[in-house]
Amino acid sequence: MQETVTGYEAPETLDGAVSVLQQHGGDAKVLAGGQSLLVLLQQGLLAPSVLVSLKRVLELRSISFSPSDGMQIGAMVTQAELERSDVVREHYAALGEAAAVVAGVQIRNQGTLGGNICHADPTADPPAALIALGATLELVGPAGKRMLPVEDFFRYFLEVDLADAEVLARVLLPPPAPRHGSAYLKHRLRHGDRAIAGVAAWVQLAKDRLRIESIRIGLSGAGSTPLRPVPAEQLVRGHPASEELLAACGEAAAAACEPLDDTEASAWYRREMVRVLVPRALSISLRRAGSPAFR
Amino acid sequence: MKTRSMEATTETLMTLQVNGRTYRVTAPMQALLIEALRDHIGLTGAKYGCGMGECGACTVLLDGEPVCSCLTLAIEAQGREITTIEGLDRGGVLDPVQRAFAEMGGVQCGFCTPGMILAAKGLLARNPSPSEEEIRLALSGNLCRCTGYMKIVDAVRVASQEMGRAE
Repeated sequence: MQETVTGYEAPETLDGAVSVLQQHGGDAKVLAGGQSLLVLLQQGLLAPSVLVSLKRVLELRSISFSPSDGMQIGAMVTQAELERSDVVREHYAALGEAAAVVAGVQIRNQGTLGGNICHADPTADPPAALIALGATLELVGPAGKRMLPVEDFFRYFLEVDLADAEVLARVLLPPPAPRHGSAYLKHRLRHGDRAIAGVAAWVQLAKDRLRIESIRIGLSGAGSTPLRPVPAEQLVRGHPASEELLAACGEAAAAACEPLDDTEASAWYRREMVRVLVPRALSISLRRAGSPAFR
Repeated sequence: MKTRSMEATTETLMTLQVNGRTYRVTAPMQALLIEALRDHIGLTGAKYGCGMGECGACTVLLDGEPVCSCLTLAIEAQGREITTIEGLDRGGVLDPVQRAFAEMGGVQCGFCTPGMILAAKGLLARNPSPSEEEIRLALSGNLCRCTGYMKIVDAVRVASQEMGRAE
């Protein structure tokens, strides 16, 4: 590995981190869990001279939840912590299930939610779940704080809407809705591989428990960024849940995605797996929401 | 093979707690934990397999949790308890997991073995009686080209049974 790093900073506050990043400009890279950054460093794809670690910014490590305020997850919370969290499992199942299938246990023990989001691999698992769960990102930078719906953060393959010296601070999830259910399903060859296709679904049933009042879908492996197939959601919203409706939703989601062709899978195959997995993820979500038609 | 830039690299002094002992290492700021362990301290049990966190041959324990030492900066491992394969035996007496791997045929070439054993140790510390599914999931970050995994899984199960009996 070419040795380019001559500075390592570990500020203890978020403002401190922003200042250090401003100071060093393009020479600096944020270091979260390092499970993506250190790969790029070893491959010579990045050559920062300064690493700004967020490990000592304790406020970024917490998870807080209340039924009225929802959940706030600090960017430095690890995948393992999300996987093991009872609160995440109970109220935001898709996120716990996504975190549990990120790579292997070694990666999950150090890899962070914030780092995963900012790395913006379109085959990553947590972003799809966050899209389905309606997450908002809290970004902090020299100009102050701004909030962004998670699906608006991803610009392109490995590219996100982060301004200079801006840091992803927290991920906010809305309060759990009544009669809701969510799930994340991932298709890959071996456990721990990146997704060939990943589908996160979230539904809320109407009071009659027959109609789907609200729905969100997040897709992994379906484009150059994590995707939200809005036309597929529109097809379903307000209608009674049925196998036929779910199948149509799968078709619409497959039509809405533009998967990448690569050595892991062809675009055709990724699209096909989206078509298959969307109804399955919806079916599980409906069961969890208490739909009598899906037990 | 390392290449060096025109300017002098910034080496830094770091203090690492490995297997209960304190080591003072002078290494480049961006040195990986696996480089510190193998090249500076001389503990070559952890293997450099892929450098990408996909093979698990570099697995060590950080405060008891399995991590890839190829994706850990040595400077960030300071203040943590690092356990390598060399730290498992007690005065030459093998750890139950080590002994089970040896007795059950879970070792062929041995390259994946240190990482496999440490990943198994991490599992058993959290879950002393794992199911086969749980064993396979916990070891899914460790690749083996020789054994086909069956005897590795058997070894972990036998070790968990032995450790359960010993309590």
